[in-house]
Amino acid sequence: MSTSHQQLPAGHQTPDHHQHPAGSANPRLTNGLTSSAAAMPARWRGISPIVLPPVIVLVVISALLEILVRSGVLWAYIVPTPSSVLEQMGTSSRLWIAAGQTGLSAIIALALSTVVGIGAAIALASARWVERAFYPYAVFFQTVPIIAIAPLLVVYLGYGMQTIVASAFIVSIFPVLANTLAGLRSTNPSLVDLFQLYGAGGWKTLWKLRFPSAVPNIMTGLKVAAGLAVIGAIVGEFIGGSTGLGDEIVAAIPRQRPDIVYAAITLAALLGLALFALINLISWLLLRHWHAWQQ
Amino acid sequence: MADAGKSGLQVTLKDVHRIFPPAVVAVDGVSLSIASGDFVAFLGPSGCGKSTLLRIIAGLDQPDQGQAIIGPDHFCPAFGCDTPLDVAYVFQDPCLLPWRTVLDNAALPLELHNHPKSVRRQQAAAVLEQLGLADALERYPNQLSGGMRMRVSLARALITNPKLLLLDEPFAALDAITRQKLDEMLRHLWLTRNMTILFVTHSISEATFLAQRAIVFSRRPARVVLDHAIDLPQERTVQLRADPTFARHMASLQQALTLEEVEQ
Repeated sequence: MSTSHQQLPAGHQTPDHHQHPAGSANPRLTNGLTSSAAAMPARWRGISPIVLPPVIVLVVISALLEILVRSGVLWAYIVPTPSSVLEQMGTSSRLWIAAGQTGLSAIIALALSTVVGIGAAIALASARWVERAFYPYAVFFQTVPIIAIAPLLVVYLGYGMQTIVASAFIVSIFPVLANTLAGLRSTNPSLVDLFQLYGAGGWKTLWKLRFPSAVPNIMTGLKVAAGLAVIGAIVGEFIGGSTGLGDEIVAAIPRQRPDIVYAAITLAALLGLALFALINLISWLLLRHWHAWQQ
Repeated sequence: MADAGKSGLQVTLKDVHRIFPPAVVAVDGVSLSIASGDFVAFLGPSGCGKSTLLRIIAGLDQPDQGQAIIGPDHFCPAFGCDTPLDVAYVFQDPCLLPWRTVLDNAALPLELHNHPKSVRRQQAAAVLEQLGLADALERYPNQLSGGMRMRVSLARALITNPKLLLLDEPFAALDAITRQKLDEMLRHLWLTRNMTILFVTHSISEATFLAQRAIVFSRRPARVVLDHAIDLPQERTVQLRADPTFARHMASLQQALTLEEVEQ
């Protein structure tokens, strides 16, 4: 092959030379493409296909609603224009204060649920008969709708934040309790053997093995509980309070102010998301070293 | 191993029976005497009850009939007796605590016995260094390879300087090269420390490579089928596996296991 190449006349080499610049132009072209794409930070290229579609949907639906309400097809006292909802959220400090009150109640309730739920799970896990005797009631209690219990809470606790916190606590404790219990029950039996071999007693095994082993389950329970706590707080505010987003919604409806109602709903959703994100952050911090581990 | 007798624990099993409810007979009358400082492999088909036997020896389970006697005088009839730090157990999985560093994982047995933090960390670091993990002390288990995790598990077992080391198919999940390295490491540990080792495996070549004596068990319920002495040189390297005597020992064990298959 190489000998035949050497035997080629000089004239034959010119097309070769012409082809080479053309060949090297191709990499230049692709370089140009990648450099324009690289102008966007690498992470955005990964995120934009995830973020962009829902944002487009939101903008299109909002624009449609805006047009439908402004043109009179939909009545403004039933459906507010998205712009008026945004305006409420942007200008009404009342609503943000209310969101803060609801958020505070939900966080207090979530903290209580964490402490009481984990404590109760440890008590239930301490002996089979305790679990058999009490767990059915925990399940039953969880199936009673909060909206049915809330008026009773007013009777027992009166109007005010204590009733709101109690309402949020009642709905958010069960996921913490159930998940913690599942976690305490599923400790690796070999590790339980190991602790037994080294003479560790019940409390030492609980504190150094079973409880830390249950942390992933506890975090799963808290993620569910976070959203429920916001719902419970708003139900509490509907019935037993004069503060918070729930109260704003109750007050805005007779005044035919759907813009306030929608703004409060949006804030309630954002509040739930913020709590969920907070739990996720804590979860990530606690479980960083567990990833790629699950054996 | 003339001096091994000084401190390795001896193990005596007297007609040990273990029946799991309702009526699964796991161990059916096993009597064995294991000399102090010996290295014994328990070979047998999967699920034959050899792990149950190991748990009984560790005091983690109790025989329904018969006795397991550890050491010349220490009698461990059941749960509840003082489990001595002299016995260590290594499981099939490394069984490390994912929220603890390598150092704190290895120090766990001393921690459970309330040794001060500085003492147990110092000892853990020393054992981990012996097992070639000096660079990994502050790492977490999820940052280690399977072989490294198993070595941490071994370090945790060795930190108490046990007189009896029980291993339940510890290297079964590892690749062949890592496994060979760990086999050599374990053999070296046995030669340099005074301890009795009982090693459960279903690999004939691993049993031949590691042990001074191999005991072949039947299918469940476990009964002793063959008790075979492996008189290979003390220092064993990978080259030994190509040796004709190595093959001869393997053939004897293989035959006992195969006969057991045919009988069923």
